[in-house]
Amino acid sequence: MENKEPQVPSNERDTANRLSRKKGFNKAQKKFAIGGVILGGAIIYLMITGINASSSYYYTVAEVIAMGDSATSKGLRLEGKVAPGTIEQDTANLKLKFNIIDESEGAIPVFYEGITPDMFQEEIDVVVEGSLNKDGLFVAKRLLTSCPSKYEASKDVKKSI
Amino acid sequence: MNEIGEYSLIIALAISVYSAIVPVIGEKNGVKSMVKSSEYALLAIFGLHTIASIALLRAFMTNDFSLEYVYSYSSIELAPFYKMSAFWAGQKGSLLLWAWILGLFSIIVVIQNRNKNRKLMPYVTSMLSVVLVLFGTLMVFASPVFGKMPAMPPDGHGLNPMLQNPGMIFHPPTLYVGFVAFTIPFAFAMAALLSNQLGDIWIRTTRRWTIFAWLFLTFGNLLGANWAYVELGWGGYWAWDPVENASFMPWLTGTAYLHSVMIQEKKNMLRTWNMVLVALTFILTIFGTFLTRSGMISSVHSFGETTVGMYFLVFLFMIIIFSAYLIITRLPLLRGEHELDSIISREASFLFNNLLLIGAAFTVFWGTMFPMISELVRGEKITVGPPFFNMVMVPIGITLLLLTGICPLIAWRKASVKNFKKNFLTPGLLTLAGSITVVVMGVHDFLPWISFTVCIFVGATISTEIMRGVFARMSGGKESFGRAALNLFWKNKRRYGGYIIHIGVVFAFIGFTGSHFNQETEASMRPGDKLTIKDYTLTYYNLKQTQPKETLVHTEATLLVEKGGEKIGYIMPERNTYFLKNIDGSSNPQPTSEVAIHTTYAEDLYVIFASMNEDGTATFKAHINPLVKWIWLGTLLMGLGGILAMWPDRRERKRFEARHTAAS
Repeated sequence: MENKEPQVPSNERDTANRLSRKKGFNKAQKKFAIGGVILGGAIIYLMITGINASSSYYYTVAEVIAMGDSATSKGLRLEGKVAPGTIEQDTANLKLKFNIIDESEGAIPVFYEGITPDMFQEEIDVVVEGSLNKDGLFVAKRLLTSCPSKYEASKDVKKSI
Repeated sequence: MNEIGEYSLIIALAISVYSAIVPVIGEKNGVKSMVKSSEYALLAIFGLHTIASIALLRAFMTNDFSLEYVYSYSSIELAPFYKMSAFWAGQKGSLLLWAWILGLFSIIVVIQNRNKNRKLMPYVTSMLSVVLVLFGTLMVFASPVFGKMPAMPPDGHGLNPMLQNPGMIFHPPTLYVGFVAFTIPFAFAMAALLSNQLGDIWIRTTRRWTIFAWLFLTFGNLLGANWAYVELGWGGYWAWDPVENASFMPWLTGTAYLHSVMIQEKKNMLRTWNMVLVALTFILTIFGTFLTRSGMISSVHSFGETTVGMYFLVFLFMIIIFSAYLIITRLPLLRGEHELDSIISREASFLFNNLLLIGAAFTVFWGTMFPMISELVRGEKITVGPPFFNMVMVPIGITLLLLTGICPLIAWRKASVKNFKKNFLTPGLLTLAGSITVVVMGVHDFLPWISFTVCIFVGATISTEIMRGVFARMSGGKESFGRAALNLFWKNKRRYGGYIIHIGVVFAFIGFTGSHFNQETEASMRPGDKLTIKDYTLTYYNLKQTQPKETLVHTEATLLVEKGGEKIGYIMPERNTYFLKNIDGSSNPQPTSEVAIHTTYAEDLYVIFASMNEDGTATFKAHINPLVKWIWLGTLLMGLGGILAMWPDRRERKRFEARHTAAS
């Protein structure tokens, strides 16, 4: 499978080719275009189904409270702070309850089962993903704490500066 | 010394403005001395950045907490090694390191091209200087590196314990090197457009830079994955987090570029496309930096909203408009001299490779930006999670891998069916046998089965190809098998370096596919309790707590590991609680868990010491992650192949020079 490269000086070839080129596409180019459209279509199809299957809605605490029952049907992603004094932890069974709050007045109780992240504590920023049940309890499938930033001094330091 | 550093940065900024403007004026008016002086200016900038870096390093080593940056990332007790690495733990030092690397690469380019490419160099110098102006502006105005504390604190805040890990020390600089190195092909591409030197000289000149950049980007990403795996302790290595995606997007377009330039070199096709790709890759490196620095996209890595985001955004728009304008106005000159001859040709397989990589980059872009896009379009912020990425990227990845296997089977221009059949027979049979073996070994789901099958196929085509080459050498001369293999690789470094990289990719895919069979379980245990996962039994043995220094409490758990009833050893996950000091003398406890991993080629047993509980129990989480080791092994192979492909080759240079002189 040695590939011999043509040894014609490239400038001459260039001009000759440009002069002799016909308008439009050749057969191979058309086939490639068809293949490309099929691949592109497949990728877009996968993207659309993927978005439908895995999207969750970003809401604030206040928005979820305002929506009431209509918030129960979809995947939600809530960002807020852990309300002080609301952490109830059953470490033996890995169950955790706390209230999530933000700048608004409201609070939403969150239930999470599994290992709590190392950084989890009162007043830390958290992200919860899951859904709201009928009783207004947010059942979290994922609980993330914002890592103390890799690149910036953490917030309490900034305050104290 | 801090003042010296500060002034160095200001002078370097002024000089970079000079070297951005003057070489172009010099070239237009034929004043050679102006061009030369700008090249010396780059040398001066590098020198000044070096002085500034030494100043900052000195501040770290001497615990000069009067600097805000040193205060934020270091403390008296920090080990000297980590004091050095704290240099790039934060944004300011990262910018300085970035600028320093760019300066270093710039002077290497100047030295490499002192007697050649004289028509391109004024523009290259100018383009590199423009980027240096951006970083200079950031370091002097937006985020002053030598910014001071109001008063000198007695001790620093300390380095985030998660950054006190070798993986984290090398991951950011490796990634920066990759990002920065892509500036070089970009600068040459723009210089080619500006000077109408649109042959393949700019591509040949930057070929090695491109592989170098690609290699470091690959390593940077995989070191990040490795760090996440061994240090973050959530059991995985990739989470499709916006910050990860930010460095993955330029990798995808960079990989596309790496392949499509070969088509331009060999066939003089795709000249416009290559310009677009190299510009896109550079734009994505800037975009990625913007994304992570602007706080626009929320990520678990909260980087903090900083003012530098705006600067990157403005620069991003300037570069997009500038490069788009240049490419569009030069379109007639960029037309290639060849057209695609056949759909079953190596060119076509490269084109499909490009299409898929761009599709993948678009997918990652779309998924990362989806919260913003949906908010603009529908007024609701919607995020897509890892399932979206996996759903789209896994099929794309497997198809790409399949192309990797098909490519060596088909010839340039047009492959004959007869030829294809002949080439396909051996690897085809090997793949069939392998594929059946995979099913027999217990892989019954479609996705992992197809993935393993494609891996085997690629491995088979590449090794058949290599064996064919070796036998050809052996039959021709009197070479022994080993000699022939060595010569084959050494005399076609680019080609066989490429094959080695592809084998590395296959290894990585084997590892990725293993994640389909992940298992996990968790339990709160008292000493003597057992936990079982797959055929492993873990018996919680005891706990040891020590306080090696004032700011650290170290707890180590010991668990006995048995596999299939046989004792294989102890595994010791740890928990460390660090106390980072605040300025008022108080300290916050920051617990981190250190996972313990028992690794084999078949699977990793990954144990996390999750918590110590008030009732005297300890909580452990155990994962079985099959085949992860193959990813790190693949990384090594990619590095090896990359080095071989980059190795200077006299034969190749002669071929190039012969063509070059014939062309002019």
